[in-house]
Amino acid sequence: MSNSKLYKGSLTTIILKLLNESDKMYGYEITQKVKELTKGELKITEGALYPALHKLEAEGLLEVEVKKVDNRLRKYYRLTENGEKETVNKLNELANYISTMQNLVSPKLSLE
Amino acid sequence: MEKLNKEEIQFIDNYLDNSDIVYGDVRLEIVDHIATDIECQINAGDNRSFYDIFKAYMIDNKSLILNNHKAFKKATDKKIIKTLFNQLLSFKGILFFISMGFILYIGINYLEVKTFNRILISSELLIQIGVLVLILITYKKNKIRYSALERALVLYVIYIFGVFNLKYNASFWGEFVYVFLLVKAFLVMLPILFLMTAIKFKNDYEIKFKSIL
Repeated sequence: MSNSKLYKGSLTTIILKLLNESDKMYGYEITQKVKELTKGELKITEGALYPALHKLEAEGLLEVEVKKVDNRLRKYYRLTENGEKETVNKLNELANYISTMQNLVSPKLSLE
Repeated sequence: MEKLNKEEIQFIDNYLDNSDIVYGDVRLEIVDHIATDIECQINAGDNRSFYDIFKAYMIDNKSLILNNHKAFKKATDKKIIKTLFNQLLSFKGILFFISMGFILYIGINYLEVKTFNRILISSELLIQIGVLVLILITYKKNKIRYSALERALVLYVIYIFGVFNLKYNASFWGEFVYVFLLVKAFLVMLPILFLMTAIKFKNDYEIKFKSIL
């Protein structure tokens, strides 16, 4: 993952959120979706993405399906039931974190 | 939308295989990532040949891909060890462990130490070889080299050669005979746990790869 170290801690949440919004996604698609949504501000490298995906799969939050597409095999990731619950938790956690940080760095703004 | 042909995909696959990314279940994902990236570049107007784009991609990313693969192997080993312990703590595992402990307890109390050790070592060897054969059969039947199955086999071979056959010695263990029974029951059970783990991974892979098997 390039750009800021601040993004690194949120990678799992980003993946879960994207998968929550679509039925299934493959690795390259996730990197491109993030690039598109952030207008190129955030670029996820395969060095960061795949270990995170494999970890989420090992934890039972994602399930995998392999399909033949365009002369090759493609691995699709989909949220499991536990993955859907974890997405809600992670997004709440992130919202709390953002709110806390906002209170710290610009208290006036958060009071308005 | 231009797509890479079979030969080009095979070229990427062979290159990665020769670069020590030997496990098919891992390689397929990297092949797809690289191929999709190259296709995107071609469709965005890149006039270079497939080989030139691929070469440039590998110059930029090869070390990252290889480091990633090393990390993946370590993570897989951890996953196998975790699954082994989960198998031990499962209903079947606990049942096996208690039965094994009970058999050893009977043996140690009703047999002479020499006879007990002889039966113990030979049955242990028989279980180890039998399980090795069964794991090899599970592994041989696969079309793809699955990472977790092969790493389980590597760890199992390390176990066979690394764990010496622990015999019972009354003067050494003394009043700690129950500690010996627990350790031995666990060591005798380990091959069975490895087999259960290998079968679990094989079943998981069959679900994931069902559309192409």
